[in-house]
Amino acid sequence: MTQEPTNETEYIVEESKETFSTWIDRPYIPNELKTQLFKANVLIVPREGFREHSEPVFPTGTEELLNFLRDNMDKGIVPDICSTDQDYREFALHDTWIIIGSFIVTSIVAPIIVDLISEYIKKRWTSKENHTNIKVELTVVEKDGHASRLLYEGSANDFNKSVKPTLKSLADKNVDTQPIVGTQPKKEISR
Amino acid sequence: MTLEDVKNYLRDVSQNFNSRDSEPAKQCLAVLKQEAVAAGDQQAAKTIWCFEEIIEIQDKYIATFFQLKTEEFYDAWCTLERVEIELLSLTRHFQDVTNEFQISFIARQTSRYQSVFPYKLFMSPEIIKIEKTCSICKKVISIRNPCGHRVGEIYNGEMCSRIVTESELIGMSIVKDPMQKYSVPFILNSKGDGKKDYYNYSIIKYLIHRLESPFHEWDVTWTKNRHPHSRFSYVGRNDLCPCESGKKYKKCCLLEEGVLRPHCQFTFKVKPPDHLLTVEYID
Repeated sequence: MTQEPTNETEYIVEESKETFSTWIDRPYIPNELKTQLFKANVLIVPREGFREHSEPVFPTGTEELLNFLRDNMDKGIVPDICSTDQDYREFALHDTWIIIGSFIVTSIVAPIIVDLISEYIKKRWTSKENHTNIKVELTVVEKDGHASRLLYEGSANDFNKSVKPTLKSLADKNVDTQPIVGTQPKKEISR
Repeated sequence: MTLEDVKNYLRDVSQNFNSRDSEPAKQCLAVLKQEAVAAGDQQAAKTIWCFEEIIEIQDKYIATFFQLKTEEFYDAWCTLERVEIELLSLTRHFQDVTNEFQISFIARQTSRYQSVFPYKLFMSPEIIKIEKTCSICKKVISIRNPCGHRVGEIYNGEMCSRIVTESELIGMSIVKDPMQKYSVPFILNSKGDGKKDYYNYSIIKYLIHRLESPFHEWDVTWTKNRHPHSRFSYVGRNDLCPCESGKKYKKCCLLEEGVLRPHCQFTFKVKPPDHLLTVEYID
């Protein structure tokens, strides 16, 4: 199989049925962990059905990112991860597209998370900053339970300025659930 | 040797590269680091780690130059990759803004050397990491109860990393721009017991032949130039054009003064001998 990264940025905003509850109620989350996960306002969620792998997996570097978020809890975030220690697995694809991960966040902390992800990338890939391509998936859950999925694939430098206006729209309740920015859907990368 | 002697040794890299022995400097730093750690001075230990990294980067960059001179191209490529990885680790903690230790220069030139290699596709392993340990405390990584050591940070003068102790290989991809560049595909030789290096290294041979020092700066620009038709006399009028446009030769470059081909132009800060300032055509 081939991976064909392009220089094109793809940014999709769409309605989502996923919320904190739908993730915390997954069968692989034991009951004793559910209470703790419900306290979070930022949840890192796994990729399910990755290749032939039956168990949920997280992109390589998730541990470092979660620790970075934990170091920034004074900014009002309460991060957690949808996994037990025993089940935690990372996948590594080893191309230069950096898969940051998938997150469920409340609309209140969403702008903070976007800033922190940008800061994390800058800190971790200082010398490659200008040509780092990232993939981030954010599901933003509003107070009324309405959720929007923001899928960003493109330059790390443009991530913040691409996503922030959407978050503002969501906060203003003027969100259009159709894709608002983006290119023609590109072929899914074979993974 | 004192720390100041080590710094002087590192500052003089562009002069001492040809007769370099880094062992005394390494031994000096090892002793100083031991003392810093014993005194609980984490900042001093981290500073010493930075100088250890600078030695590694300088040594490997110089080694690359000599590997290219002796036409050990794949080895040189792998050494350059180590330089790139160590630069990434160092620059989190140390910025050589004045190029005192040639780190900015090496970073710039490393990327330029990589750009003139013929390797364009790479194998890329895909793995599931099942268990990792911390290089500092040796504990198995717990995602819910972290050991507290952060990857890339320096503890007791050592950089923290994760060691994958259990993993599963799930696939192999072919990529153009891999995270790590070691996995260059080669074909088997006719006996089937070793690799055959079929890559065309003409461009890098041209370059390295004209450099006398790894610290002589050069740059490269890629354009397209018309090459004389006499070089393509083996191509028939009705064959495909050697410019790879997909058109017939007679309907493409044969109508022009030459065949449009990629052109690589080097600029040298230190002028090579006149007899080496030549144009070479490479197939």
